[in-house]
Amino acid sequence: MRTDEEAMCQVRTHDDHHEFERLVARWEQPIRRLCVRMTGDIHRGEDLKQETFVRLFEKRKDYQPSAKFSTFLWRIALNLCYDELRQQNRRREFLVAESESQAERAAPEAVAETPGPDARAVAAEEGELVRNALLRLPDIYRAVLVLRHYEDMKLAKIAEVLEIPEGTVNSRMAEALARLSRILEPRLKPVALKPQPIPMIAPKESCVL
Amino acid sequence: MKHPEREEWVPFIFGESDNERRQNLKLHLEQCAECREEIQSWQRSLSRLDSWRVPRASKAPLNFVPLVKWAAAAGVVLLIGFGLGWTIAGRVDARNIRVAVEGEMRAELAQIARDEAAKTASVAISAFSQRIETRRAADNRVIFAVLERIETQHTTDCLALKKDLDTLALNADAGLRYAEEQFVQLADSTHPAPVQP
Repeated sequence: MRTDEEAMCQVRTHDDHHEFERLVARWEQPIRRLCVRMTGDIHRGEDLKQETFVRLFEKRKDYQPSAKFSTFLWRIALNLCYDELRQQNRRREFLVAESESQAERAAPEAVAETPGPDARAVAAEEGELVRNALLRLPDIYRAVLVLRHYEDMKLAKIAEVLEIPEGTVNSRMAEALARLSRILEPRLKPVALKPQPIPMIAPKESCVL
Repeated sequence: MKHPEREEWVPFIFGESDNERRQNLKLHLEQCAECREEIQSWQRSLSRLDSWRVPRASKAPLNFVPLVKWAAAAGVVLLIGFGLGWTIAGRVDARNIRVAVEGEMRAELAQIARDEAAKTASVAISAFSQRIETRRAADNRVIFAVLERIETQHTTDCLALKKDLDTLALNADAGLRYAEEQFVQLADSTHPAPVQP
């Protein structure tokens, strides 16, 4: 079985549709997740995923065989997300403000009605708060957070995809976490964490890199 | 106490620090409540991120049975509609339809004619008032030109009159001076000058 790089080379040199289909099947879920997390919208994320693979095929001649395929693909997807976010920035801000105010109105009731809460509804509400909080972050901070936390990408790899120094990734991540905490901490019920020692986040099994 | 830079914590919380660095940071956390609080807050936020789940895209195969049912239902409805239309069409009285439609159409035509007449009158009035305005502007231009000419003539006349008056004044002045000299000479000849002692 060919590696992604070999498959992409086949696509590049022979327009091999079977290899391209294989690449799509292999990567469509991670790319879809990224696009959904970046835009905060499942349908738009789905569209962006499609656009990413269309763009990948269009840019197949630009692919350098020595380069890592995943980096090439993530970059295309992220650039499309950035373009989309730029275009929809005003509309998105309005929607976030709207849903936030709705969430703010709904939150006290949910807390007050804690006797016998529907666990799934509570989880969905918390998920919505997290989604809104992430959407409030500037794109560059959201990107590092999404790539590291949800896609389990190493910090060095994030630097490679974003074409920035690793130190910049770290400072963006620190800023992202600080901002996220400022948004989430007052809104959510405290999570039981042992004060000592500091719990380390167990690195997820690397599935895409 | 010297705190580590904020970005130094990032590899630490994601488990990407080397051993030595990790030990140093852990030691610092044990001693520094401020950093401990901040890093715990980051950890809490990260753990909450998982509550936002993105459902997998479903790839449900198309089920053709409901489609066939719906297509059959639509066919039946179309057939019934077509049959009804066919039976009703045979009984339609053209005269009744014409009577019913005629009055409405007349009213509509009259309204259209009225609208057209009003539009034409409005256009004519507008053109007429424009012509009047043009004529008035031309008249104004003529009047201003005549007035300007009269004013110029008046200024010229005033200047000529002033010049004549100046000449007259000079002549009168010279005459008076001459008369005065004549009077002096006459007085001298009538009364000889007294002899000096």
